Amino acid sequence: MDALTGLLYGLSVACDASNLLLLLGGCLLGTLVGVLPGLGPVGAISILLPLTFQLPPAGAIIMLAGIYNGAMYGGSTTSILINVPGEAASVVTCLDGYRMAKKGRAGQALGIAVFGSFIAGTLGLVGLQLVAGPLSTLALKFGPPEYFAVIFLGFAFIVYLAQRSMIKAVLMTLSGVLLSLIGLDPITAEQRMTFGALHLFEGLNVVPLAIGLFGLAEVFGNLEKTASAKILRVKIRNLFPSRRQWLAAKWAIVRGSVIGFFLGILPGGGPVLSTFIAYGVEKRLSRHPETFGQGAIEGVAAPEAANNAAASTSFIPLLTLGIPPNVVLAVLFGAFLIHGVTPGPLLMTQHPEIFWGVIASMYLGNVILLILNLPFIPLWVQVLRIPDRILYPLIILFCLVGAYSINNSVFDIGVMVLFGVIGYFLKKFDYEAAPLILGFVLGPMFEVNLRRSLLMSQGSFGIFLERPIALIAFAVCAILILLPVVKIIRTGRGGRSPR
Amino acid sequence: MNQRDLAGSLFFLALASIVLVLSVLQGIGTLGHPGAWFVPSVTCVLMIFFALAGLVSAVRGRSGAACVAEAWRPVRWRKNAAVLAALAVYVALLPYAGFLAATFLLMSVLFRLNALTVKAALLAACLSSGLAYGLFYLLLKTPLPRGIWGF
Repeated sequence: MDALTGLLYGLSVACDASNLLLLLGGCLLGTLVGVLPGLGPVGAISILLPLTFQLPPAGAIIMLAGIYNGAMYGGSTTSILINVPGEAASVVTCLDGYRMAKKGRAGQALGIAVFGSFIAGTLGLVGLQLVAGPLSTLALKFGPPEYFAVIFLGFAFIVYLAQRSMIKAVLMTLSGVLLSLIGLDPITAEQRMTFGALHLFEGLNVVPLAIGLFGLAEVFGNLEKTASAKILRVKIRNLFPSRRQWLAAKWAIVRGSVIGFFLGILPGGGPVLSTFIAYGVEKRLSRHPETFGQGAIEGVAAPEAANNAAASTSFIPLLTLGIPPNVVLAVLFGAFLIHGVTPGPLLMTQHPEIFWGVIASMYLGNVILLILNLPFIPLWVQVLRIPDRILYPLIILFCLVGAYSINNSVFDIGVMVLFGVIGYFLKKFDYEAAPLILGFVLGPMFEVNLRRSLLMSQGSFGIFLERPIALIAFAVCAILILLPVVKIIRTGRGGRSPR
Repeated sequence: MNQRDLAGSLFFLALASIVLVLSVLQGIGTLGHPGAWFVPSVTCVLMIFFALAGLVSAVRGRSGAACVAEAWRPVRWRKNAAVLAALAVYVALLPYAGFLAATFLLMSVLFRLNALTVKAALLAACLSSGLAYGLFYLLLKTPLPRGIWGF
């Protein structure tokens, strides 16, 4: 099926009345949760996952994709109005968005964020649609050595692109791998680290882990704070950007889209990193860099475009290789498996309704979010006014039901609470939780493909150098490992991320 | 010396060392026939290496940098401890009391801890647990625990 035929088929799936309703509901719920400070797309998908359990796989995945897109859109609202990012990818939007709001230009900031997100998200989807097919065909030729090399490359990118310390990112990734190995060995069915507990035989589930690390830990972090953010009391008007604003922001949107497009594909890159780079590029190219941080419209347009383009293209490795490139997609990967669908090169042929349905629904989701978000902004502002003392107990309740519903098991609630505490301590000790989740999701694939490769080669690591794709992947890994080493030698800085 | 990084590295060093010993005792196989504990042991060796690198980096870090107690100084940790205790009791109680009763109790405690009056906390708990029960159990057919009272 070529890209155009596939898209038309996907539209026929997505335009089915029930799927359209699910998409609409997903977009609204995602935006609602995305608007709440602290709970980003990971929390949104994890907590709302139980809502999809009774749905057919295609409808469920379409709804979850809607939740993801909605959360990405919603995150900017809190950044602009209360200077608290709704999710990590909206941190940069605070810099100029909040300044614009303080100057009485909240409507313009919210408007350009919505339009920039729409344009970039749509451009990202065009790329996803064109690249996904050929990449799936190529991935069918992958054997265990190629898969191992690509996953290893993913780990290298996760560490290289870590927000803080690289050593800590490695430790978190390895901890995730170690946690993923709990349970029965996939090849010999031998028990590992189960301590005889029946609940651990099938291993830990990614969803309670993610809810704990990104939902409950966030609540713990917020409960201990003594002050809450203040919402600006400004009138939201002029949501439609004027011609002058379009002229000022158009290249920022284009450049942000391109940066987001490429960084979205990279494991460990994704929406968060792309916003920082897009903002930095815009500031460097601007004729008035001094206006950045003071309410420059390009400072809102570029990061918002970048994070939405990256959100679209991050589906490429997930749908074609079965490798989630960032933590949100890692949770979505878990959701695919819960619904009995394995993402990867065979998805396009075995479940074309899901593959093309998801892509088409994301196009529709972008349009829905554009149409709904502008009139709904005053409603989202009201959501922000819900007092913390009401909000946090309700989030805990959703976390509990979300964790329980995965296997209808109280044990999973215990796991979620445990990882909520672990997530809280990780924050205190300045460790990022995202590499842990990625290590956890990629861990089983990493193990199986390494062991199969060694079995194939009878213990020789030369197998990874004999295959061109594996060789290229390892060459890129070597560059990624050597770059910071060179940087450390040159600057004498120890263990910090190269940025 | 960065105490926070030092404590973190020591934790990972201890964890990886314990699992490595466990892996070696179980048998890791050979390169040609890697056993069930092969990847856990490789992972632990790498963790130990990077935890040691973290230790060195923490020891060589600038003095006056993050100390462990600093991270808790300006915060209300007692509230978190109370919430955690309430959650632990909830997990223990849920299979016996059922979703509705256990959740009502938990939400009452959580709302009360969040400075709502007793009356308001009970009302909010009643509403939130009832709505969650209606949405997940009655509407979405999630088989929530029923407890000894059957609901």
